[in-house]
Amino acid sequence: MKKYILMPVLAIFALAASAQDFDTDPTLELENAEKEVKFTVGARMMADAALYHSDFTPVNSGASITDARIRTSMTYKDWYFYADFGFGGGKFSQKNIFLQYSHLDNCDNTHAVKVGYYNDPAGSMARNTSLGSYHFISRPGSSYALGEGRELGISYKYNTDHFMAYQGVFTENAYNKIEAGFNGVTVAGRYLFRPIANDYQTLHVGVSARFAHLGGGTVYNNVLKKSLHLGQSLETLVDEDEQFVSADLDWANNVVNLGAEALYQNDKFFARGEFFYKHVTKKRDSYSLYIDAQNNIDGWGDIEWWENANKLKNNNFFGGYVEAGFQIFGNGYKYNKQEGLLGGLDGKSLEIVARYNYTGLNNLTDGEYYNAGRGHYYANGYMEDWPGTGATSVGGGDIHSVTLGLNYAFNRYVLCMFDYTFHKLDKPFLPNDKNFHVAQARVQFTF
Amino acid sequence: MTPEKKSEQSLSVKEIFKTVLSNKFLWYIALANSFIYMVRYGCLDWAPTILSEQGVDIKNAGWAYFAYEIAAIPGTIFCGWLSDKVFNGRRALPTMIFMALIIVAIVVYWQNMTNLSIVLGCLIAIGFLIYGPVMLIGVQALDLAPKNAAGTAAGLTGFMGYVLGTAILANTVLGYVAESTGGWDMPFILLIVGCVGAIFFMALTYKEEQYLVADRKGEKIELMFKNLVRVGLLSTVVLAAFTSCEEEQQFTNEKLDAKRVEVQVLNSELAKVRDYVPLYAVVAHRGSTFWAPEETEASWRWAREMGADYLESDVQCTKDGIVLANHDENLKRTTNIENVFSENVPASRVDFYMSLGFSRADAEAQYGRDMAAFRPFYTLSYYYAELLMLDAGSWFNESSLEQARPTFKATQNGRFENGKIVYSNGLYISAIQDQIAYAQGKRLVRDAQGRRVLTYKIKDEYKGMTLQQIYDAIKAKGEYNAKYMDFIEYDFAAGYEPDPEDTGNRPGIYVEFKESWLNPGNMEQRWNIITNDPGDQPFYKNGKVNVGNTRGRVILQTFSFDALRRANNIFKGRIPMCYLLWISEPAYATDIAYDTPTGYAAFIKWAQDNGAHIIGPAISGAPNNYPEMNAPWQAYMIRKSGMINHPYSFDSWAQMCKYMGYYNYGWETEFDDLLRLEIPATPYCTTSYPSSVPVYMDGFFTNRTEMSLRYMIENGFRGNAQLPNPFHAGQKYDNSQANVTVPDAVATLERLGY
Repeated sequence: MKKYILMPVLAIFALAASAQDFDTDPTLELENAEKEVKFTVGARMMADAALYHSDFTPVNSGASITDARIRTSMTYKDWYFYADFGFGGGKFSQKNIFLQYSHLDNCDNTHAVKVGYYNDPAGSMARNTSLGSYHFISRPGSSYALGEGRELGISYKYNTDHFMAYQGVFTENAYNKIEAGFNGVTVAGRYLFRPIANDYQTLHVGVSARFAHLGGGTVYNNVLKKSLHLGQSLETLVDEDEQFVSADLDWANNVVNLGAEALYQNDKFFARGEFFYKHVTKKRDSYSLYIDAQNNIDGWGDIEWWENANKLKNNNFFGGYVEAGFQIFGNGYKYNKQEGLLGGLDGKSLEIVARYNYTGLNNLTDGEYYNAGRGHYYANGYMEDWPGTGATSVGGGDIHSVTLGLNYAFNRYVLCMFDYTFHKLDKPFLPNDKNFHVAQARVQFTF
Repeated sequence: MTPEKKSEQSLSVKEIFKTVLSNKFLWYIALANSFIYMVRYGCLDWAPTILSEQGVDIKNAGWAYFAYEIAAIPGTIFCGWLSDKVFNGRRALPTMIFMALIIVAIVVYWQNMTNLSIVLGCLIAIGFLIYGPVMLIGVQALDLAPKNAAGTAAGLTGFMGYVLGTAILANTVLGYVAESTGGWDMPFILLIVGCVGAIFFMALTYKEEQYLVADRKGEKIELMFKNLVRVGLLSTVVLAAFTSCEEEQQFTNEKLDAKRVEVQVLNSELAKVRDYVPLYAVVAHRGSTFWAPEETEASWRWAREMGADYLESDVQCTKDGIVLANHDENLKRTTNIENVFSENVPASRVDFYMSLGFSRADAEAQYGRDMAAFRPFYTLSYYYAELLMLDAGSWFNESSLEQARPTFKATQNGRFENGKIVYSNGLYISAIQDQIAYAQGKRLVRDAQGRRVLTYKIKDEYKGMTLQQIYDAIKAKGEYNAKYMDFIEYDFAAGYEPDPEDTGNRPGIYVEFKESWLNPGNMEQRWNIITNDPGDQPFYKNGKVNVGNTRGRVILQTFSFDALRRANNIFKGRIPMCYLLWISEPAYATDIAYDTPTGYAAFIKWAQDNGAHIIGPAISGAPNNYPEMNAPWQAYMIRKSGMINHPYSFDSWAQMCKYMGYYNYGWETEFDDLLRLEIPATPYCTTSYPSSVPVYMDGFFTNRTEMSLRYMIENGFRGNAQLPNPFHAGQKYDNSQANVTVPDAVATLERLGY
């Protein structure tokens, strides 16, 4: 009987390893054995200093408390509740809050149902990994620009030694704070296969897929206008300015994310990488907009003319990264099988890491002309007087980034990180910004 | 057995070689050394070549060589101290850290090869960092080898360093790769690979060295960690301090950016045509908006007699294709059209058609088509003859009470009477031919009642056709929209006579093409701009303006992207053209939307690519209160491009002082390198000594020709044989033959009969 009580608890503890995008290995624990309840409290603080050098547009060097969190959890039999709240940057923010029920079947495979606000399973391996466990000061830029973060929803996960299937249904806005429309709906899944999975090393390969129908938006000329913002910073949290790599896609309707990932880990070395593809479809009530634009002396001709001048094009974006680390000394790299993620440094360690990232938010149409003084593309290859240019290009920016890093953990609670990143940017709106150098340091305290 | 213990033994020569050559760690060190030497000499030996190829002066390239070596001294000492004191005698770890930092410096060097200061900084950094590992490798070899074999071990690492690292990898391989790939990207990648190789082989010695350090020093790893903590915290503090100390452009600074942004420079063909335009040209904006009804016979005759260099106008088309010189797209502000016509097609239109000989049915059918294309009060909706029924002067008397004159108002309104159009007898909406005639010293022919004499008839090609047939024929041409019924011909040749008040000034004309969708697609070809080449003629002769007889007699200007592109397709840059700048919120379809140095440079490039020689920015100041688009940084960018700067429009002495740099007289400014001019005094100046001012324009549009001319004359910009030429360094610009006396504005109006 004891076995049937202990096993789920152990399984939950296994789930609660510190790799996922919430930290659940706190020091302070309160346990009421009589009522089979365990309560934990933890906290995390990250202070970063960053020095930026750009060709042209300034990026604000400085220091910042980039993350500060309080986290709590409660375990009762097969049930696990977790909540953490951030107040980094001087602002309160809702982080994870969810309830999970998990169950080990007769074959020791895990079945878990989770409901609440937490990371989309197909959001990317990087976004699912807690920043506190990450081996770089920031996650790769492509995971921000093309991956997804937390969403409100329910998911089911099935996990074995060699296979993991993790899928769920979500909505885009946790608080239903939208001006018009409805919250939208997302179906997402992550599927891993582990050909190698033992105590010494792990290799996993996986795919992910996500379909989102955007529901909420604003009212524009009496028409529901839905938009999608994609963007990333210069892989830094001190100045999170996204102007260098970002795109705002008006009239976005559906979003399809497809991803592929691989991870290898042994005691001294890890390497992992992801590929992202994002397809955004567009939709709008052209007729209503056309009619609205007609009621003046400079009105358009017929609707066909209007649509030609205000074309809609679906967009495709690509990105990805590879990163690797070598532990010079320490307790070795650990793989979290329950989450399919790499763990952070555990105890006194020293490692060197390197990463290459590519984010492509330029989705250009052949033959179109861009003028940085207008901030517009022009379909016919030259500037025209008409307000509708008929152009469909998106010039959100293409960026290649190389990062070298050195991380030293004094113990399991205190970590120092040093990263240098070189970015190469191609963004039509910022023709004078090509090269960025970012040197960063972090002191992180977690308990 | 640890290396430390080995060193205590006595070994034969054979044993020495065997010990050394069979020690894999010494081989790791030797291989690491070869990569370190590759990086050391790869950076050092090729730096002068790289810098020279990037256009850096060879003297500075030599400096780079020197800096590299000098930086080695503190770098080596620091590395040794770090190894001994912080890492407790460990050599591999500091070597790996230094090599990792060298990768950073190489990447920065690679990506900024043309920036000498960054390259020098990188070479200093590499010099600082590379000699430490060079030194530590030797020490590590001695640490790992027995004492008796220390020399052999050092020899092995040195041999690998010099032969494999320097001779083969740094000199031969890098040189070959650079030559065969035709660039420096691959050599830089190889240098990075070299760093990674050094780190890799050093990492392989890490554990062995750990035992060594433990044996020799005991378990002092804790101390190392503590020291590492100190280094980490120190680095963080240094980084934070560094960030707070960095003063270089911490915010978007337009003034600084204006100097940093690359601006396309006018090519030689366009520069040649640019010089057709006189420097410091005084352009009479719409003739004048202050003294007389704009763009009328009164304002242009006045501007000519005052001595303006150009008469400025805006062109639009009438329904019969006559090019008007008229500013607003509709006629409500500057005429009495609302009193003469309703908001519908003129009721007299059918009678007008019938007066030309068409049947009532035909005329009524055409009236219906006119209705379909009708825009109330827009010039494109009316025949030119109909517009001559309007009074274009009375509005001025109502809006400018202090400058009002009875003669500006018609005494008889136009009307349709006895089967024909009767013109009004005041000031008229002008045709472009009118403006040209005024510039040439003429005035309108008028009858005894003061009405303009201008006859019209059906063009020969349409004679005998019905209106329907004419409509179809015009539509079939496809050149422009059929709403333009240009089947009427006006006898402009007989419409002008020599102006008895003409005193000999011959200004040019400065014509603006308006919004393209308000005009036919062939608007730029509807009047003959280029008739003949007058050859080299002076801008001024005997105190009179002669611009109208030079190659620069016509300047085209526009806000319209389409108009500039079409004009360039037609005139191929042979006529001076000005692109006008405006900004509003939200941005209009032809506005510059991002008024930043980057946006400004993009517009300058676009203007040049479309045949423009002049940029015309708006200026601030009462009474118009336009947005400021000719701030010093903007004027600087225009000057940097080699284009002429013609801001618009001036109404006050204060504006003249501001944009001619008077307020910066005697003060140093950040744009002096291109904008400051030394103006010698002339006998007409208010002072007898030369002035030194930053000048923010090369000519300008003014509503107060009398005031602007006086400013230019009194400050030495007109009537001066020794003006510096900002477009041709070292050359003088001579406008000493220009008019240097300014007639009284009111007296001139009265002399002209107003």
